[in-house]
Amino acid sequence: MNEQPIARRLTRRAFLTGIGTTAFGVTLLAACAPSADPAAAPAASGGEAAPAGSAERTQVRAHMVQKQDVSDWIQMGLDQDIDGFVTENPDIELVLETIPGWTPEYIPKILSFAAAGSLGDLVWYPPRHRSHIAWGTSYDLVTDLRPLAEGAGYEMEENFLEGAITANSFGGATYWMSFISEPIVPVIAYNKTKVEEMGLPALTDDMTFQELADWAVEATTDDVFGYFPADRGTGPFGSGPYLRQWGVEPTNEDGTKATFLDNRDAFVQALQYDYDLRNTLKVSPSPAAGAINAPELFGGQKVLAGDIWPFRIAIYPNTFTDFEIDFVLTPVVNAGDARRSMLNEHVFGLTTSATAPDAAFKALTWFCGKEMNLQGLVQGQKGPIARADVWADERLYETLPTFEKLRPIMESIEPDYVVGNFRGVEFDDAYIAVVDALILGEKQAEQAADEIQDATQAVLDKEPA
Amino acid sequence: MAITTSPSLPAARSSRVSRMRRSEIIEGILYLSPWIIGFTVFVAGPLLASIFMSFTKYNVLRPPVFVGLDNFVYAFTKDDLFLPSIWRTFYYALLLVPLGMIGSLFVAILLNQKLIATTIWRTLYFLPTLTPLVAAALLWRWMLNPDVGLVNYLLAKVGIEGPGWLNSTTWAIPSLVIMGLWASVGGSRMIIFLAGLQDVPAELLESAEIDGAGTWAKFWNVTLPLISPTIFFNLVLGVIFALRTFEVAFIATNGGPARATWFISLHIYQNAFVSFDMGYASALSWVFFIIISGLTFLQFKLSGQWVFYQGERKE
Amino acid sequence: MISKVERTVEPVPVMDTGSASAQRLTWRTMFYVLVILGALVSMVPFFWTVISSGKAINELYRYPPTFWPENPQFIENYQEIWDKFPFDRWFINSFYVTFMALLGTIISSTLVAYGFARFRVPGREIFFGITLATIMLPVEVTLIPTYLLFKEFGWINTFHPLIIPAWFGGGAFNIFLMRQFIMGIPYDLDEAAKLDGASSWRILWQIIVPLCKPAIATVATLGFIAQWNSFLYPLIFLNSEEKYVVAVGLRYLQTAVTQGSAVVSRPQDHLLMGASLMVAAPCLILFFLGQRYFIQGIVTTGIKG
Repeated sequence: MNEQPIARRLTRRAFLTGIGTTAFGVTLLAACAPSADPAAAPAASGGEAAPAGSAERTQVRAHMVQKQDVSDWIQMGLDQDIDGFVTENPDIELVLETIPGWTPEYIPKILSFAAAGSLGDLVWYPPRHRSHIAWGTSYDLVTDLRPLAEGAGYEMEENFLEGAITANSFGGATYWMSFISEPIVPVIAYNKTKVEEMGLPALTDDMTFQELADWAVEATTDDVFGYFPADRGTGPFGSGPYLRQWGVEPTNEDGTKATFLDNRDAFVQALQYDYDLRNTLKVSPSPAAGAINAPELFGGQKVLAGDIWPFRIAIYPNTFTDFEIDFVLTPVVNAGDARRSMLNEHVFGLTTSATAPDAAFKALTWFCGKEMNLQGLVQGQKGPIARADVWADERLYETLPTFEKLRPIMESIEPDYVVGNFRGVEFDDAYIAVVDALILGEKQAEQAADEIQDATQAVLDKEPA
Repeated sequence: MAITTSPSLPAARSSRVSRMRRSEIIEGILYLSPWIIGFTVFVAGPLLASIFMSFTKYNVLRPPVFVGLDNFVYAFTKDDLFLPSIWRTFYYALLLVPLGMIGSLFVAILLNQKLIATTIWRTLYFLPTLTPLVAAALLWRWMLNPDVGLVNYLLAKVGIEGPGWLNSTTWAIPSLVIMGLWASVGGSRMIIFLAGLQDVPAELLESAEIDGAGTWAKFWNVTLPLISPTIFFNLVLGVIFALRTFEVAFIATNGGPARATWFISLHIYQNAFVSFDMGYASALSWVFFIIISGLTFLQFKLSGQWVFYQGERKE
Repeated sequence: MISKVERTVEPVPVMDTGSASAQRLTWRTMFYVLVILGALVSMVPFFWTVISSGKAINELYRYPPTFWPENPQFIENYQEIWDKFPFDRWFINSFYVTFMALLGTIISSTLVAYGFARFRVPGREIFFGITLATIMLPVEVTLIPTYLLFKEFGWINTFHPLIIPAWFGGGAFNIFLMRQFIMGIPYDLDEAAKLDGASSWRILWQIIVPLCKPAIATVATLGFIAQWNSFLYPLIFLNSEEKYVVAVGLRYLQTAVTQGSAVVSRPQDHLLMGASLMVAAPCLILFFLGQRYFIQGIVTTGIKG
């Protein structure tokens, strides 16, 4: 160490200069950053200011999740100029601000826009029954569409089925417009090829739950499970129609009381049925959290039949090409029972901070218009919508005959149950936590029924979100 | 503590020492200045904001309403999910951290040996860190599935009835621990151990050998003390990261089944971005923060007993 | 000084393995079996991802899974990813952001860690505690205040929020790691240099940094991987598709795996696998090439006995 002379002592001044140079370098690099990036984002620049050159055009910024059936389809609609929206509205510049992922990505992003006051004109909302109303009422994020509709001469009731309007209204105001609205898991998809190979009878549209269970017992082998609630899942949202079919309603009309026990025997039977599928009859793999996703099990031919969302009707046959698929309606309790249903809504709303509400309203009605949605369905891009005119159009059934079966269900659709304090997800989670344990055989139906009632009521007793 | 000077020293020496001390302090502050500036400008504000938020009811979209200690009282008296989620998180960390530490150290020692094509082995062991979590989670769900999974199939072959793994309230956390170990044993923790092992002077081991120390004695008396700073580093951060675990539970089980993997991080996330209860989420975060920082503080206090720094400057 | 620091020729033998050659052979065999087993367990999911990225979607779901794609369509799948999404743009952005942030991280974390390890500044333990505290608080609750702060700076939809903070400290993880390594370097070295009249700045560059090369290489590699895969901040602070980085772009494909049965999407997991690999590739290459720097480290030979 001492052999090598240490060079001249560096003064503190030199040190300061060093720090200063570094800081300067940082600043310089930072200043260079935007210019180093050739694509200096033209339109979607957080809504700071309208880009130069678009002075005469009104910009409408629409926030939505990046999805095949949302942003992809709307973009395709623009490209195909459906309804002549682009040609007829040269003054409107529609900017789709897409956010990749799903609610875990979308919600924080929208919240930060809103907190910074830079939210655009239109905003998409995911299927979270009734919590979406809070965005209009207590959060003041989206505005009542009624006055705008009146001004534009747009009749809500003429366009949408009653259930869909009810689902999006509160206290006389309508905050959202349906974009995807569909009956919740109304059909069973089954592996027709394998069912025929095994010499099993085909499933039918008028089965009872008992008949389905009997069929599943016959169909289950060492290799394959007969039936699986799949998309119905373990929550009250996916299972809404199932519960209603048994005569069970999750909440009272204003969503302040959990009403599972109003028809306790029926509720216990409904829970017992799901318990038996997996634990007594052993015809179902577990649908509880941590399980393999339903499409993988169905596509892997490990289950023969499972409940599905309507949008899968168009997608499954194109995805699982190893076998033929057929669809039947989900069962009822007693033969001939009226079919009960529930509505799933993905919606768009107009923000209270919208700078161009009239142009935005025009874009909104186009998103949710007839031709746009009929084409979306026929082209296999998106799910159904609660519009009578779409369901009355023969072109739909030419491409997707299964939708003929859903038509009566859609026309008598019942709205989603209400969670009065807008804690819909918490309500569902409280329910799921108990049903998971039931399905895993760790709880009995009687006990589960009481626990569900208590846990969901505890959520409803919390103050509004 | 660092603040103590030496007032009892003779005056003449004292003035010289204090001059040196002063220049040391000034230089030290200069070196720390990037952090001090960065913290003040970028971090302090949001941190203070979240402290403030924890005393309010705040949903981001409406102005916050001051509610005093209500959020904290609610957490401990009315929120049935809060305390269980903390115990659950500790249970997970208690399994994961010791096993992960031992596993990573073991792999680091293994890969620090003379091996053919070391580079390739080390890369292979590091692969889980680079495997996308979604792909890994998908595969693990297949392998651990009680009905059609590979693991229980193999167990059945040797006459063992496998548990429900992710589909069991008892086994869900151990399953996540297994996934977590797979993902991290050969990862950054191992790399840091490996870097630490490089700093063990060869001649120290040699002289220990001359003194007649066996393999184990050399490891215990020479290697381990010399890598204790990296062990300490991995332990402190391992505990922090294990307690903050979010993604694996979010993607693989979403907190289920039956809340079996509902960790504190999921509870905070749910309150912040699902129920839009940012005030309450902040309160939960700060309670949780106090727990983690208490633990970390304790580790630093105890570290004097076992962590050996060659270049430590005692006061 | 430099002459005292020698490059090791061989890795340090931590565990010696017997003396008799037969025994040694048995040890050696067991040792390799162990290493190979561990490597197999580690690599299977990655290679499964590779294979899956060349399958058609219907084959991806087949059970039992096929080991190799029946009709390999690697080129078609990757072509589809490349055509459908602006990955070229995202890669450029990612490289730019990662490189710029990493540079800042290495420089500033070395300076700060040196300050923490070698200077008895009053309150440094408190400062260090605060540094660590920043990684203890769940990010959810500071996210929106941070967004508002950067909005004040006019940094939204720019790369500044991702780069500039890295120049001011480089994050608690890196500061802590560097501090641990610097504290492992005998202080006698600094003392001796000081007696020779070297300034602290000179000690840093001529003694500490050369001895810390493995640590710096570790910070660089792990920092690259962390920055490259960083998701939440880019998602929140960037708005336009052209500004996104690969980690955010990857979410465009990540749909079918999301929890919740109501997620609507055409299954495209085979594309997700391929895109994930593309995104992981730079990290893999960097790790493969960079590891010799932190693994063939420096031994402080002859300094302390």
